[in-house]
Amino acid sequence: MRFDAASRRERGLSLFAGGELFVAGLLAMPSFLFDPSLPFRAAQFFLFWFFVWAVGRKNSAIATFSVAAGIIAFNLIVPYGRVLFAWGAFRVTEGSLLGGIEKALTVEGLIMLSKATIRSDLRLPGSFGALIGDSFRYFDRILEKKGSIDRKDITGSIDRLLLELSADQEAAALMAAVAGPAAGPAAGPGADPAAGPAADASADAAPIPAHGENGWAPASARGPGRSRVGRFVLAAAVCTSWTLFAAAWFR
Amino acid sequence: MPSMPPPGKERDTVALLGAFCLFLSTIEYMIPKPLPFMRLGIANLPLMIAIDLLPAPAYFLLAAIKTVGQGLVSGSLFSYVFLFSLAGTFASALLMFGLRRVLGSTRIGFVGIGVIGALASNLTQILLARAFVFGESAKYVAPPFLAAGLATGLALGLFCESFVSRSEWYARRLR
Repeated sequence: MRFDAASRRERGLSLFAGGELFVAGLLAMPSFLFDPSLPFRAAQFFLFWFFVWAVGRKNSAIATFSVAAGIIAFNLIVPYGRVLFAWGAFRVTEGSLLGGIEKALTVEGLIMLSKATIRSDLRLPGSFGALIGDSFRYFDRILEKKGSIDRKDITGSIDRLLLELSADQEAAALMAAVAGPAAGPAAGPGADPAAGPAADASADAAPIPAHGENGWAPASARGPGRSRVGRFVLAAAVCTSWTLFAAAWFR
Repeated sequence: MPSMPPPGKERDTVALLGAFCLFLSTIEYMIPKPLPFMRLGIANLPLMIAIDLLPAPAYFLLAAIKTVGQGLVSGSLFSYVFLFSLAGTFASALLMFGLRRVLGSTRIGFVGIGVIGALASNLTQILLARAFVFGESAKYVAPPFLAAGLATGLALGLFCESFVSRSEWYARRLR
């Protein structure tokens, strides 16, 4: 089994559906947010961190720790509680240190949970979800054509790009109108037919659209057996987070 | 969150400008920053361009697409970053749209809108940062954060002014 980022990402795609990940994240979030114990919250943070790694999402340890250090440092500015030590006039107090660590853990833990469970192929339901889907399709087209944005003429090149995308959309709408209602709604330029508004109901069965450099290529195989394994893994992760929460409350 | 989709051309404008918000969010995501929610605000540009193109429901739908799309692209939907982004975007969208409609394009230009929008967004985020992350220490973060907002708001306003005066796409959509 390979463990490079691309293999992990591909494995994550084949194991987990975007919607299932979202639900798992939603279920795990309260167990983290309401965890009263710092060590147990830290354990949950590392669980989420591991999950981010396991699904092959980009994650910089340096960025994570520098943000956490920044939050702790800002909290230390206002002292409260017992003085632990002092550098000249600057006093490091227990209350502000623990408060800073707790806030840093919360901020970074929620970011890890989000990174692990939110994928851009997540299909939101309803007309708002369909509109977001259309925006993502345009986004893919913009990413394809981003080379056409000229730094020397940013205004002009963005204008040309918008005109081109609008013309493509009008042509697609015209073709759909000529083809008649049997052809289904106009899904826009370069649209993945399975990703159109009409396909929302079967989102799980549809291939995942690639989203450029943030992207996730379509999972090559996503049979029901593999999906069951994915659901089991997600359920285990959510249960682990809630077990840590319970242990923090009853210790 | 608005639930009724706008019709035809208007819907297409919302989807297209929403995509530009996502594109600019991706660029912004790649720019290193001291704290994850401290954004420059370049993804607000499509919201500024849309101010005279869309009616209120479609405009706020675009703001919702920007925030949710940003949450999906950067994977921050379950974090404080999303809450900060949601509050900042809607505070600035409300002020920018309201002022433009109340004062009209002759009394407030895109530079004014850009600066007010950026300050509204940053001020809202500082208040949230005070409540959730920094506590009293937020007052030390506020001056550089607001100064950065002022600078980017000014730059975005100037860019927007230049774009709407030269863009053929904008002229066609305005008709």
